[in-house]
Amino acid sequence: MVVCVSCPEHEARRLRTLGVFAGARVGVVDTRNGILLDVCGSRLALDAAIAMAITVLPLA
Amino acid sequence: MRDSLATARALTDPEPHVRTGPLRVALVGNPNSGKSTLFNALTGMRQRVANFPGVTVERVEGNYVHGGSAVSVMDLPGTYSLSPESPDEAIALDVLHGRARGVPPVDVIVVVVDAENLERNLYLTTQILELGRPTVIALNRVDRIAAAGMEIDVVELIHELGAVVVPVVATRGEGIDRLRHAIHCARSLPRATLRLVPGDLGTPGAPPHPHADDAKHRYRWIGSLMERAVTRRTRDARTANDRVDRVVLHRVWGPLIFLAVMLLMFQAMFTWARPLADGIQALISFAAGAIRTALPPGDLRSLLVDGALGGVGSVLVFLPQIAILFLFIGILEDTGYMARAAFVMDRFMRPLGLHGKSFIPLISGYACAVPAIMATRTIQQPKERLATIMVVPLMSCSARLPVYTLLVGAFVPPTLVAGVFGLQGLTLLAMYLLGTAAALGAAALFRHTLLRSETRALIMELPRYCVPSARVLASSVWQRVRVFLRRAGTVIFAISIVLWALASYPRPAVTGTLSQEQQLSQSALGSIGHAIEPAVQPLGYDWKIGVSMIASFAAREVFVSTMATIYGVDRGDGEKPALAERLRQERDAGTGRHSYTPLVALGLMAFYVFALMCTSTLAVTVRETGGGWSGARWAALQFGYMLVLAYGAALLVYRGGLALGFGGGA
Repeated sequence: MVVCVSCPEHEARRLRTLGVFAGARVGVVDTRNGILLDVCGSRLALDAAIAMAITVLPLA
Repeated sequence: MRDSLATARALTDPEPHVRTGPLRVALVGNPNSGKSTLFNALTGMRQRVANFPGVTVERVEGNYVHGGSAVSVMDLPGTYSLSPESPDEAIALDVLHGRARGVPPVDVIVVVVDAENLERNLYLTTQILELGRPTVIALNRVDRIAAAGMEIDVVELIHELGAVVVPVVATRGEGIDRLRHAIHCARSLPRATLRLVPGDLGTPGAPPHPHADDAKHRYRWIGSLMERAVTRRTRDARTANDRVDRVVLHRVWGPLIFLAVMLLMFQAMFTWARPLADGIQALISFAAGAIRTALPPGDLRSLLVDGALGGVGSVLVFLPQIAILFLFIGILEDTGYMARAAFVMDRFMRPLGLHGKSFIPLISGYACAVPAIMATRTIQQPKERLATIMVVPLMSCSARLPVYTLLVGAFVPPTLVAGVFGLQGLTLLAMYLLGTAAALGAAALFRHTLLRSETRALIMELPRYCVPSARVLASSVWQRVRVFLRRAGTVIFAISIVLWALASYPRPAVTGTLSQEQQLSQSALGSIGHAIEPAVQPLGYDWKIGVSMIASFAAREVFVSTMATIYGVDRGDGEKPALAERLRQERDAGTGRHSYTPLVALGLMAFYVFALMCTSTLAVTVRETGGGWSGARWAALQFGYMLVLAYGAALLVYRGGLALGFGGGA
């Protein structure tokens, strides 16, 4: 689960549109090179810098 | 606030039997939802490409007839939401509201939804339904959800969304007739009354960006709908996909795989295209032979054989290579690899001040700079976008390929390096790498001087891998090849004829006594060539190359047709050797040495790597960088810096090569 997204508002807005916001459930697929998220069944690739701005809390 | 919506309704809601003109339909949807494929399926690919007035966002329109009435379909740029983030998203919104200048209001909105990505796609869908306009939802790729172990309850979707949902498989044309019927009936059905978030989204006066809670609200509602409408038999259907991605997106393997793919592409362009090119060459020779036997020697025969066939034919020979290049780029795009490449390369682009998204236009630049410059519209940061536009023409496009191929074929021996790679293919690859390196270097320079700003974060969806449909691939290659053929038939044809005339007249007073070389030298073309010779002499070129270079400022491939025309103009009846052979044999009349050495060819290739010799690219740069004077300034800067670079590189290669003792010519 995403706990908080702390990046500039314009980036946060794009992330919200794609389903990444505080409270959303996402899966972390890959973190070796930037980050690869599973959001609503689609794969979202984020570069390392923006990945740092997203805090997630493991649910299980 | 609601007034404009009411007006829009009034405008689009006349009685069906009163209205004139076609029913106007707009296709909207997320990027990668299969919108364009559906568009082609609906309209049978009878499309017309134009630009929205005032902005260069491509506007694709097509028509079909259903139940005796005409329907006009417009394919809008892909967008994730109705809050615009980039120029093409803003356009899509304006069209939906009937606010776009010069675009008639839309009667029916078709939302294309990727069934595999239903949840995310429903975000845009709910926003569009809230506009309260006649809407049909095309649920695309329903064939794949069964394979993915999913089941979608379409009736539940219709019930909850309050709009018609038509399952389709756009690639195979399934469900298209039902979709046409649904579009036909859409205006007579009750409007969707969905309203998840208070306020009118995107209407004038409303805040341009919805509140943060909007997204949460919407996704929560969509989540509950998904629970009711979608059954998943298996937990995660993407494991195979993810396994591939673990390798393809690997820190080390990822870039290596990308390099290997590029190498394969260039190798294929050289080896696979050869038999096809030979076939075309044989056809042209056959045609020339037929004309020779049919017509008596004279001006008409020379015009047809040397001017028209020689000029256009020399460029047509490159058709197979260009088709293979477009085929490869099409495969990379359609399999979903292109997005991965952008993500993998993001790491390398960042120090240069660009991000991975700039990489896709750069790769498209290998095909043609014009669509590549238009593809920069997905880059949100204006300065980043401008920097990308400025360097895209440095990527070696398909028009340079004829020049490279001619020179490589003529002057690089077909030996093998390390037993596997042909030296010719490697030289070609080197030219592409040189252009790419220059593009990246220039981008870094622009981003650290004129166009400084922070680099935006990379947030990108990686589409599912899929096997590209042969039909879709074939049609996209054909469309691009057609553009090339049209150019060969118009611009290049015209220039070939003009050059033939310039090379043939004025006639020397006594024919027969002068050698072909002397005759050509006295023609109008010769005079022009001699006038510019001082400018190209430091590069080691004679006046013939000079003339070809001047002519090719209109379009690069004209260089080859000009050379062909120059060398085609002989009055003898003997079979002429191929152009490459002629260049190898060409000797300077004065010194008797070879005019073209491998070093000259290398320098010339370097010139073509860097020079911006393409009127279409300049025109599109002017429009994309703001149009008018400001656009013209950017285009002038682009042209100027590339010309300086080109001349400098050619000079460096030739003079440096001479100083090192290479290629004085035998």
